[in-house]
Amino acid sequence: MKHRIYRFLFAALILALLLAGCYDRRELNTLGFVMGVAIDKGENKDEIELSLQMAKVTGSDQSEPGSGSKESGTGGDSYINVSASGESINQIVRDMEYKVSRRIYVPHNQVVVFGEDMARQGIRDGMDFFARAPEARATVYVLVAKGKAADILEADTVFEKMPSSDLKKIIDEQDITSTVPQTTLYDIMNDILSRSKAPILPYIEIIDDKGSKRINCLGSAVFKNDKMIGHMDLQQTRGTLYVLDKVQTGTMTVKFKDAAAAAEIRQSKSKVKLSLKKDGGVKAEIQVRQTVGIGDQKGTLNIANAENIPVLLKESEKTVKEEIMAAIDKAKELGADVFGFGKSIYRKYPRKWKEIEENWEEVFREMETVVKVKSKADGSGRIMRPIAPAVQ
Amino acid sequence: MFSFLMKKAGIFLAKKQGAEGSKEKKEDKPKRLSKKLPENLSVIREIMKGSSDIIIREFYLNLDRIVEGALIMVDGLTDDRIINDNIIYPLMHDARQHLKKTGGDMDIISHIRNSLLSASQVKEETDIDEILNGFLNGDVALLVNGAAKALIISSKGWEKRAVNEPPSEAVVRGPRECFIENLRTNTALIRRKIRNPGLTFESLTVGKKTGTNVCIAYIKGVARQELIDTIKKRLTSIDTDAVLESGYIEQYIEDFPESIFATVGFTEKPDVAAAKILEGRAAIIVDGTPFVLTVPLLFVESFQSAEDYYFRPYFANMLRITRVISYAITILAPALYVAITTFHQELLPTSLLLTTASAREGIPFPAFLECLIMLMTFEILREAGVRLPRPVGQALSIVGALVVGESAVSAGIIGAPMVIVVAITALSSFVTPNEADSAAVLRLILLILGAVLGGFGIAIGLLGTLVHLSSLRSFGYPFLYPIAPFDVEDSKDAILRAPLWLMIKRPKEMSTDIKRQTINVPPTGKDIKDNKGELI
Repeated sequence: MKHRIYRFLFAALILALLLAGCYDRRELNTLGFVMGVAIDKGENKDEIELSLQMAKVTGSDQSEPGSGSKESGTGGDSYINVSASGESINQIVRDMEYKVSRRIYVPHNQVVVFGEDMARQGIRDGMDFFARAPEARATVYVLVAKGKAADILEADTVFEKMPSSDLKKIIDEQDITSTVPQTTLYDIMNDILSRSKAPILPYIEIIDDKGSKRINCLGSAVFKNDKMIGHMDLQQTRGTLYVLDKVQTGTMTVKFKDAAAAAEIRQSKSKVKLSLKKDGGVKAEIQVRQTVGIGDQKGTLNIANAENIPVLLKESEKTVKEEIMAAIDKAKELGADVFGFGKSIYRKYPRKWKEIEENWEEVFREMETVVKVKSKADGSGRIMRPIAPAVQ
Repeated sequence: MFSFLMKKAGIFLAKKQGAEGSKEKKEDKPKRLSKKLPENLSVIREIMKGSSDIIIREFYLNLDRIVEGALIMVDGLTDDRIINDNIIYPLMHDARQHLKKTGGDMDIISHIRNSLLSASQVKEETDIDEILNGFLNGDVALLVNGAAKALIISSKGWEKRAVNEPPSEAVVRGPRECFIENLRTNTALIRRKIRNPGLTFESLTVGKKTGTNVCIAYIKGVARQELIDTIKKRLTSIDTDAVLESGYIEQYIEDFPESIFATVGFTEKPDVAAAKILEGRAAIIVDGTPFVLTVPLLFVESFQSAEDYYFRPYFANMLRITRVISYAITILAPALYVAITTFHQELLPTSLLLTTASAREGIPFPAFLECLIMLMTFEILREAGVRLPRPVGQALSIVGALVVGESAVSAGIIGAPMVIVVAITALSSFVTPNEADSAAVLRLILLILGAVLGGFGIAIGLLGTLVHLSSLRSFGYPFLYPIAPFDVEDSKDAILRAPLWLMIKRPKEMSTDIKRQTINVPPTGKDIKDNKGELI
C-alpha cells in the first residue's frame, strides 16, 4: 500500500515536470534577433527614441555575401531598423511588436549606441533596461555617437552584413591601436556604482567617405556619473588607457634629425602609486614600463643601431609621457576622475577618502601627478637596418 | 519509471502463464530398450512416424549364428562414407571371422564396440530418449537383437558454412576468422587460440523442443567457480521450448531484462572470445549461431575493440576516445540541437545563430518534429539497407542520399543543420555497434526531454541514465566497473589502455589467478650490445 503511494507520487512528480515544460520554448523562426540598439533623445521632453537593428534572416537560398547594404536590390536587406519613442525602453520594446512580426530577442545584441544629446542628458534611463533584463548581456559594448545614434545604424556595411556587427568588430579590433576604450555595459555599471570613477565610452561619428557613410572613431566620451561632459581625442584616450593599464599594443611616430620611425608598443604595464602629501594633498605616481620595437622608418638613418636606439626609447618615453599628461590635464579640466584615482585612494587610505569624498572633484583637480615612463627595446622586425646599401 | 512499468507487465504475464505451466509438470519415467529388436524398432518407428528423413537399415550380422541388427540415422546429418566403410562393412563382413576366433557366448554389444567398429566415438545407451537424441544429433544408433543396449556411433557430417570473415566485426588488423553455425567448429576455433588443458567446454542442452546444445567455455583456475555455477544455474533453469539463437539465451539469463542496456556481451570473433575467456570471463556458445555470448559484461567493453590490443597503444587510445565521443554524440546530438535552438538560442555564437536561423527560415515543422522525421527517415533507410537484397543496395543509397540529403533541404522541408546533426548522429552510432540498440532508445528519450524541458531536461535524462547504469549488475559485477566503483588498478584497461607490458594483472574480482605476467619492463632493445660489448 505504502509502495503504491510512493509510486503514485513519483509518477506525479515526473508528470509535473513535463507539464512545466515548453513554457519558454521558441522556435528560431519566431525570433527577431536584435543586433544593435540606438538610443536618442525623443522629440518631446522625457521621451526616448529607440531604434533597433534586427537581423533579417533570409531563408536557405541566401543572397551572396556582401549584398547586405541597404540599397542592394536583389537579395533584399539583411537587416531592418525599427524605431519608436516612448517613456521607457521596456514599453517601447513591447510596443514595437506592433510593427515587427517576431519576438524581439536581445541576447545577441552587439552594441548599444547613445546619441550625444541623450548622453549629455544622462544614459541611466536608457541603460536600465539592458542592465535589468536577464536576457540582455552585460558584455555588450556601449558607445556614444556624435549627432544622432540612429544614424549609426544606417551606416553602410563594410565586411559584415549589418552596421552593428561592423561597429562591434571595429571596437573589438581597437586593442591594436589602444586609442579607443572597449567599454562594456558591465564596466559602466561598475564605474557609476564606484561613485568616483568617471566612465569613458568610445566616441564615434559617421563620416562621408567618397559617397558612402562610414563609421569613424573619434576617441572617447567622458562621463561624470551617467552624464557626458566632454570628450577626449585619440591621444588623450590612449593616455588614459595607459594609466588604467589597458594599453596592449599601438604605435607612435618618433622624429629623428632627418628620419622618422613608427615606434610600435609591443607590451605595456603600468602602475599607479598613491601617497599622501604633508600638506594634505594626494600625489599619484604613474609608472609605465613598456617594450617598444620599430614598426617602420623613413630615411636611411639606421635607427636600430646602438647609438640611435636610446634616442628612440627616449623619444617614445617622451611621447607617452605627453599623452598621459594631456589626458590628465583634460581630465582635470573636466573634473572627471577617469583614472579611478578615487577608487585607489579608497582602497589604500579609507580614512583619508572619507575626509575628501565630499569635495573629491576639487582634490582631484589639485592632485599632484608624476609620470615615469621606461621603455625597453624589442627588435627591429625582420630586417636589421633600412634597405640601403651604404648604411651600417 | 520504465523499469517499474516493465516489472508490472512482467509480473502480470508471469501470473497468467504460471497457472497453465504447473499442470503439465509430470515427467514420465525414461523408457528402456527391450531385448527384442522388432519391439524396439516399432517403438522408434511409432515415435518418428511420418518423418521421411529417418533411415532404418536392417541387416544380419554374420556371426556364428545370424543376428538381426538395425542402424538408425537421419538422412543428411550423417556422413555416408563413415557409415559404409567404418560401420556397415565391418559389421557385415568382418564380423564372421572375429566371432569364430572368440567363439561362443559373450556380450555381443561390447564385442562389436571393442573389436569391430572403426569409428572414433562410440557410447552405449539403454534409454530410448538418449538413443533418439543420439541419431537426431547426427550420430548412428546401432540396435542388435537380443541386447537391451544400443550403440551410438559418431558419424556427424552435415552441410556447414566455411569459416570466413566476420561480417559485423570487420577489422583492419587481426584474425579474420569468424564463428560459424556449428558448435564443434566454434569450440575448435577457441581451442586453437588457447592451448591450455584448463580450457573447459561444459555442455548442456537447452530448449525442450529444440534440444539445442549449449557450451560454457572457461579456463579452470582463471574463471571464478561462482561465476560458472551461476551461469549453469541460470542456463538449467531456462524452461523454454525453443532456442534458435544465442539471443534467446541472452534474454533468459541477463540480470536486468527490463533495462535498455544489455548486460550480456556477444561477439562473432574467436580472438575476442578467447581474450575474454583469458580475462576470467566465460563464453556461452550456442549451436546454430555464430554469435557467442560473453559474461560478465562491463559498460566499458562496448568502447573496446579487438584491434585496440593489436595496434600500438597511442593510436589505440585515440580510437577509444573517439568511440566515447561518438557515443556521446549519438545519444546527445539531436537532443542538444533541439534544446539549443528552441530554448537556449543565446548559447550559440551570433554568427552561427544567424546561419542556423536562416537555414530554419521557412521550415514548416518545429525543430523537434523536424528531428523526429529525420531520425525516422534514417531508421527506415538503415532497416531497408539491411533487408534489401545486395544488388538493390546501391539504388537505395542513391535514393536515400538524394531524398534525405538534397531534396528535403532544397524543398525547404528540413533545415540543412538538422541533416548534418542527424547524419553525424547516425554515423556515430555505428562506431559503438554493441551499444547501438540502447543508444537508439536513449537518444529518443533524451530528445523528448530536451524538446520539452530544454537543457534542464537533458541534464535530468543524463542523470537518470547514470543512476540507472550504476545500479546495473552483470552476473554480480557492477556494470560501470572500473569507473564506478572506481578502481585505479583496473583502469589500466577501461577508457584508456595501458601498454601490454604494463597490464600485469587480470581484472581483479573477475579471476582467481590474478597474475598475467611477472615482469613489467618493456621488452625494448636493452639486450643490444655495442662494439665494446657493453649494453647500449
